[in-house]
Amino acid sequence: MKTKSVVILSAVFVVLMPSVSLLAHHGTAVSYNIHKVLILKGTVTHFAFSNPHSQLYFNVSDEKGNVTQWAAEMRNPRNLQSFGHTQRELNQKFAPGTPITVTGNPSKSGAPVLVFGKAVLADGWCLCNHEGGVGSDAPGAPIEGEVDEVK
Amino acid sequence: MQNRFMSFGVFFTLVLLFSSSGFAQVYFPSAGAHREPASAAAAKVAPIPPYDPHDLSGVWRGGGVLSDKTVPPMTPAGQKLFNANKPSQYVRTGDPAPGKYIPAFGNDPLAKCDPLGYPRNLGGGPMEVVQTPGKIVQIFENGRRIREIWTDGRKLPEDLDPRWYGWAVGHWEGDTLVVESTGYDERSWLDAGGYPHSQDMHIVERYSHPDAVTLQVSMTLTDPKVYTKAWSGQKAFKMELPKGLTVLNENYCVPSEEESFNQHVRDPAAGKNDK
Repeated sequence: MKTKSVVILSAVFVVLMPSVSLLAHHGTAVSYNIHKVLILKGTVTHFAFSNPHSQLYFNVSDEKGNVTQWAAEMRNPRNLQSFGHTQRELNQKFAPGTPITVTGNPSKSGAPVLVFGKAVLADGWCLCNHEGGVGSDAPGAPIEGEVDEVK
Repeated sequence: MQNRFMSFGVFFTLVLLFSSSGFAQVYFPSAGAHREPASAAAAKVAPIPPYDPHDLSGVWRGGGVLSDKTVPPMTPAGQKLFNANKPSQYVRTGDPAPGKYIPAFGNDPLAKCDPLGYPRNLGGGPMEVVQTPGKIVQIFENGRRIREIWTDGRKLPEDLDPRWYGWAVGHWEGDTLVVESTGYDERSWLDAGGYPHSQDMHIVERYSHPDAVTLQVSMTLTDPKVYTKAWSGQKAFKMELPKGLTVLNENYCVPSEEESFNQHVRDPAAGKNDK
């Protein structure tokens, strides 16, 4: 029963957070095509748990063997922490060399940058449900406001 | 027994209050961030702190006190400054082209990790108040910046060199702390919308502590070089409990991190480096 209450309260918190943040987000939606969703399979090269937004870098190879390094814009450290994640945990999950599938919305400029939607590892572990980023994994879905209090 | 019942009532009201405003995790730092498990456990059973209207210490969360919905008309010089400021993370109220400012092309001082200054720093994230007999210190989580309010009876200096957080003196009028300040570095914005000010900006704030968990803040800003009338507002800040155990995050804007992010993510996503 207690657990259920906590879950409900947490759900309320999560639902309300975007409305709090809409006044103060970093305006990332402007730079990304929210109507296009990319699902990229690659290998982690670097994870940066840092302000203003965390970043996940990973290499993706095409059928000819050409390698492109992609960058995913994620939530800032405080936001990741608010979902219970720690730097140590995420550094381990996103250790260089880790095979990964990243979903997100690509930049409008065409540069290999996307706003993070979710990431799934080979063992099924997932940073998803908007915990890791503000991108969407459904075409046309709005990008949530970044939960960031800097104003 | 009645006291216990009342305590429970106050607690329940507090829970409802915080829940309704989106902070269901009552005892967690307002940034919703990590805290040590021992502190989290203590928070769950923490009582409402003792209440002294002259003790403003604690971690508070409120927001911007001046609303851009009530901004006074600007002088021609003020309008020119306003037009030159291009917000990077915020859409101005009434902006005819919402979202036209792409973060990479804005000139928000925050994007270079410049100090947010005051009162902008009051507008986002929690603030800890540290109170000593002669000085009150506001510590802002965003950027981990500080502002000093001298309460030892001194007057504002006549000839001020401007500072990002200005010069401030305060005194008590009954249960209200009245703070007068000026000498603000004009490079800072008043908020994320890019409202400007001059270094002659003068602010009068009134802080009252009407109950154990509320800090009522009102502010009147006058700056005849930029605004044709005074700009006033008020906001109720709420205390993050438990007092003494709630800690601010170390939320620096680190120039090297910002630069790396801009180089690898923000600028390429916006096509800033395209020829």
